[in-house]
Amino acid sequence: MENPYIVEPAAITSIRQETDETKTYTLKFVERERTLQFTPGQFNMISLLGVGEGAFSITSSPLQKDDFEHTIRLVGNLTRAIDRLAQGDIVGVRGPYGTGWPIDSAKGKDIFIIAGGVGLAPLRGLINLIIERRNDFGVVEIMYGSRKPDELVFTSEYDKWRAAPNISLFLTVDEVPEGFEWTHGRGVVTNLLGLSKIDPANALAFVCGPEIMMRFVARSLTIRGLAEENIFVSLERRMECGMAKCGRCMLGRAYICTDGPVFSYPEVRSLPQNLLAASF
Amino acid sequence: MVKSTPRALKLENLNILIDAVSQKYRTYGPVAKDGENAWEEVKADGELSLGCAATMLPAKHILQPVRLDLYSFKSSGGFQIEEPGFDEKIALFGVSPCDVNAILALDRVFGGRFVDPYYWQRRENALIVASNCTESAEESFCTSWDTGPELYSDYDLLITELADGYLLEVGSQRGKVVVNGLNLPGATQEDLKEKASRLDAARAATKKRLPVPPDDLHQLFEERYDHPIWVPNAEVCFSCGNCTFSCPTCFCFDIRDEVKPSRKEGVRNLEWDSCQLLEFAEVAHHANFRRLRIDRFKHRTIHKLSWMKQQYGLTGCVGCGRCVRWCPSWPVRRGRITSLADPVEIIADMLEPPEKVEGVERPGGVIV
Ligand SMILES: Cc1cc2nc3c(=O)[nH]c(=O)nc-3n(C[C@H](O)[C@H](O)[C@H](O)COP(=O)(O)OP(=O)(O)OC[C@H]3O[C@@H](n4cnc5c(N)ncnc54)[C@H](O)[C@@H]3O)c2cc1C
Ligand code: SF4
Ligand code: SF4
Repeated sequence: MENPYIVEPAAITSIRQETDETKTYTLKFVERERTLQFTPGQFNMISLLGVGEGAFSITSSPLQKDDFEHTIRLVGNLTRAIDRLAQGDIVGVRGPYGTGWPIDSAKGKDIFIIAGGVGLAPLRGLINLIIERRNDFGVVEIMYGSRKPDELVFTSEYDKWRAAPNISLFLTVDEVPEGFEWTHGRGVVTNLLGLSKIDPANALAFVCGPEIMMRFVARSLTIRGLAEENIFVSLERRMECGMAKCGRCMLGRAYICTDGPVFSYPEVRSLPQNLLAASF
Repeated sequence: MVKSTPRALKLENLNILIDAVSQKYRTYGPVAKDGENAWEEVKADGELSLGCAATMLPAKHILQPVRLDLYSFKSSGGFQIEEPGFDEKIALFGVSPCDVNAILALDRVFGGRFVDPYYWQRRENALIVASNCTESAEESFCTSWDTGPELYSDYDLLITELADGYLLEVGSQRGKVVVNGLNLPGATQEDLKEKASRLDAARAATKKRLPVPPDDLHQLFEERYDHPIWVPNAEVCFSCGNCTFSCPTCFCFDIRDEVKPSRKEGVRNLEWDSCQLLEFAEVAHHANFRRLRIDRFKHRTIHKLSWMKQQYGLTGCVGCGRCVRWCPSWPVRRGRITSLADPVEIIADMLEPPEKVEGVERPGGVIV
């Protein structure tokens, strides 16, 4: 019987420091020529045998066939151990799992990409895919916020994103350290929506960040006239298996790992705990 | 389907069958242990305690052990993985109808798009010798779900106690192979009638019932998700997890790595877990997606009674009554002392008009 719990070895071929706590790892399967087939928004389970296993979004574009990337923030046991790895080290990988961003329904439409903190991770592959297939999509506005300027991830790619036709990148941070030169926005990411030129009637929004942030963003978008069913969010829950077995990531009747992590706003509204409640 | 052997046979005593089964299978059954009944290995002429949901824990831990090795690993630069072998054939002897229905629900959980090989290696070859319930425990309410006291399908062999022995019904080729050599006499019309009347009596004796039809539960929990009665109920829940560990359809687990002192080799294992425990949904920096006891209490209850049906098409409660029995919290509800975890009582709570319940206070600690 095939065993979906088994991890496959992948080697770290390069590491890029994004912030103090976050690095992007390029991985390549060791034992066989295998291209990871995935949709941006999907995730892998990454293991360090003897330490543990965790869910991490795939952050490269699916058109990048030779290898794939993960962007990992140091928060606990497993991520600390991953943080200590070097080029050439081996991790275990299984996946991909979950639903991705509904790219097909975004064809020909304008797109809001709105993220907070490391929430940009599951959206980066999408941004790079859009750039590679620029003619398939309309105007794209990326609105990204973090706590401080040095916590922004993927900064080395911003110039490339800005240079692509019809893509704008708006940044905002909560606080700017004394003496730091900062020419972008300040305050919450919803402030950036005021700069938007997209016609909400023909647009989709892809949102990922802390739940409280997604709640405000979804509300602001609906106030601007975006239909609820055109707003998509990526949720996060503790998960052990990624395969709707361990029961941990359940939110009401939904398994975040297989029914999500990407959900439409009405789907999330139908789940308990009032995550993205329209009223406060 | 079964031609040479009649479908219904007469069995003088269980030992004949235990003997035959245990020759071909590693056989587990409900046996008395430390004042309770537990699923243990039974040998020929072993003493079985058959009966309505007789065991403290259901048989699920035979199919999905409380703790099992997923694989062992060695690392040195890269890593090698070794999967544990499993080619044993096991038999579950004396499974009550509700527990067979619970296994059907677990089949769906561990099946689907990702088939769990650990469960299915055991399940695929497992012989199910089910046992109809001719008596009814006070806590059981299987008749409301139609998961007992009688089993209609999904068994290899099915026994029903009669006045002078047992009726033995054959439900599969695998079951037929076991009884073929035994030269058992066919059952008579009288035996079949006796079975029917005994099971009717058991049905009638099952007094505990859901206060609404099962199909109404989805809407009830949807509409009353914020019913104020959840608050006093959650206040007297200890978050001990008894209701989930004892439930035959609960399946949640944790995966953990264990390493040898060399740190170069170890085992990745799977262990049962419970949504009632505080740490269950905890993530980095002590963030917790179900920190509130009330959210955990609601999750277990509604998952059993409604969401599992929506996810898998089968009920997540089979009415075995184990959670009723093993919950340590017994608040007074509607003038009676009741088990907090009791699904029937929780549904009755839901039916109370919310205004009436507002302000109900029961002593309890802080809800976390
Ligand atoms: C679908 C999905 C995609 C994710 N994508 C990314 C990503 O691209 N980059 C990134 O840095 N992080 C991502 N995460 C979060 C990441 O899984 C956790 O940060 C990581 O598992 C923490 O492990 P730890 O051992 O370092 O933390 P510890 O706190 O030591 O972990 C203890 C346990 O909790 C689990 N856990 C802890 N935090 C989380 C969390 N936030 N979400 C889920 N499980 C958690 C761990 O797996 C472990 O079992 C994602 C989570 C999910 C569910
Ligand atoms: S919820 Fe209670 S009564 Fe229902 S199957 Fe589980 S343990 Fe048995
Ligand atoms: S409902 Fe009862 S058995 Fe379940 S966790 Fe609470 S106190 Fe324990």
